[in-house]
Amino acid sequence: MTQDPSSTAVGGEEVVPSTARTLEVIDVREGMFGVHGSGDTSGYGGLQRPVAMPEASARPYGGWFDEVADRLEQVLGESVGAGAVESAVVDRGELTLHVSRERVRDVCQHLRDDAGLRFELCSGISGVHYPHDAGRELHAVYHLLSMTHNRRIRLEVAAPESDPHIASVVSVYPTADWHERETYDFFGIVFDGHPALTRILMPDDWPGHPQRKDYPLGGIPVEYKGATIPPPDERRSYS
Amino acid sequence: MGLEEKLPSGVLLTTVEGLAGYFRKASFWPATFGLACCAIEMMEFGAPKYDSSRFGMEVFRASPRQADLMIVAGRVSQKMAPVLRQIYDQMPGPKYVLAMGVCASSGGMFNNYAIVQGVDHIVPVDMYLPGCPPRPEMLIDAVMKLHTKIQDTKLGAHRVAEIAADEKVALEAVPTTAMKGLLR
Amino acid sequence: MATLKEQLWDPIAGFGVTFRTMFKKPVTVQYPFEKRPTAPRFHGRHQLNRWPDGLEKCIGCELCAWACPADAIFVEGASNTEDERFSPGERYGRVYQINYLRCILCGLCIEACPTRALTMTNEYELADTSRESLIFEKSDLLAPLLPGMEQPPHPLRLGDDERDYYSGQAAARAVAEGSVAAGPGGEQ
Repeated sequence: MTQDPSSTAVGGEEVVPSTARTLEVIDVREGMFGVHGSGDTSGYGGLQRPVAMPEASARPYGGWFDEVADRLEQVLGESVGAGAVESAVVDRGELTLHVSRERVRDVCQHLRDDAGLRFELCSGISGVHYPHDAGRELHAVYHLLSMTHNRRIRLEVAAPESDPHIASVVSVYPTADWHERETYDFFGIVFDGHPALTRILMPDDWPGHPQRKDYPLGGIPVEYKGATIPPPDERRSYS
Repeated sequence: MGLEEKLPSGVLLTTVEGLAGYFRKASFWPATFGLACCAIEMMEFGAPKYDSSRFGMEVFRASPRQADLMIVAGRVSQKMAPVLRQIYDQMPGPKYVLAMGVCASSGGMFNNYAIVQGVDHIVPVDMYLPGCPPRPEMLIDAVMKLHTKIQDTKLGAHRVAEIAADEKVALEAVPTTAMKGLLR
Repeated sequence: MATLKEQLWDPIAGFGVTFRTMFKKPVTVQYPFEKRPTAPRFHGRHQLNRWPDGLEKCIGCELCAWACPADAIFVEGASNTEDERFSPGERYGRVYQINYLRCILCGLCIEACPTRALTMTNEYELADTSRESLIFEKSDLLAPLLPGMEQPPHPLRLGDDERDYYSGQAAARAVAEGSVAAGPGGEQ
């Protein structure tokens, strides 16, 4: 079993992966260190960097990716109906499935139980905050491993900041319990159906969710004899 | 206050104080409070090369009730702060706190929301030790400076007066930001 | 059933380590009683260096303060005047403070300094009992006056303008006049 989908033949048949990859620009950042206008002495004022996400890939994905995608489509079509998997992205030799936030539990159930898929292990749930991706600001990312087949895939679930609710997968993967609590703690994503969704790392009475991009860095002025230096995020802002 | 009040004040009490100070500093047991990288240097301080048993400090007590000194080694997060305070409250007096490393002393380079900006916001600190992390020699040096402080600690009524005097000095102290010094 | 070796020899075999160690030299460093020198490039307390005639090398550019990851350096520069000259050139560091409670002794300030005014010594015994005593001011950080040096402010002694200092002619002249020993200019 090989892990590189681009190089190999599956079932004796040469697979040519899709090379047409487009990027979806969600934000354009200018300058550096967050300084704009005449205050910018860094020399990076003219710099423009697009923040781009790889767009959905077209079939065939290559390697065992098609096998997994076909099988998943089939079992989902039989039970929860089409539309649970919004899109699939193949980037840097890795398969990412974008799943709708209501059905992520069902998708995980099938991914774990179906003999052709068998993703037994959820090795982590993390959060990402894209403040400029309107309507999809908060992402939860699930990394799944199939020990039977030695395959890894990634699920990505998006939720808007105004309604940060995602179905919990604890009933499928018990190990997701603390991961979901951590993601809730740092990003404020509410996992519906979690047995005890409380803060895990920050103190219980902490206001806000610190890993969001708009969360202030905090800090106090550094004291000197007769003077202070303001805390870093007020002295120089990073974009 | 018992025996020392019945003794003639002055000569005898200072002798007793000196003796008590000598005993205290010669058996100065630290409570472990290793929180980050400074704890590694603190372990080296106890290990053969720097051998803290030369100063009667080889027993890092896991129980705060047997400890005289708390070496806060590492950054204290906001969530760790109440734990640290509880450990301190459980220590029997006289107790001392050594803020080891810049993170424990002032927050160091972690000037952000998650880290307590100096452990002196939670417990009274007797010795600040800069360095990131300080080498074991620096820790020994800080402990030696603490030893002189313990040697001079008073007893009974004198101690009460000393605490009141320290309190008065601390309350009247000019904050560093108000010290003008060279500034215009 | 344990063999005879396991019953008789193994329980005492471990004492061999203890016995062998008895003949080895102890590794313990007798620190407070005898001080071993640190590595020559050990990052210890900072020092503000001087030119051979006693003028300060610091020009108050604040590059060290900007390089500092912990914001542990506070610099306020001021202009030299003809009557009151602290350093060759236009500016000098009038206020220079290092907060050792924040300083992580990383040495980025040393790398940033354009005039080698700021260097680090090997001194490491820094512990103190209060916060304010660990904020070092310029007077605490300046290198001591060596023989031949003169407390600034005073006019340029070893050249006509700052170019002579920065091109190394000042140090050469100081060596020629015999006021300082040959070596890196002004650094102790």
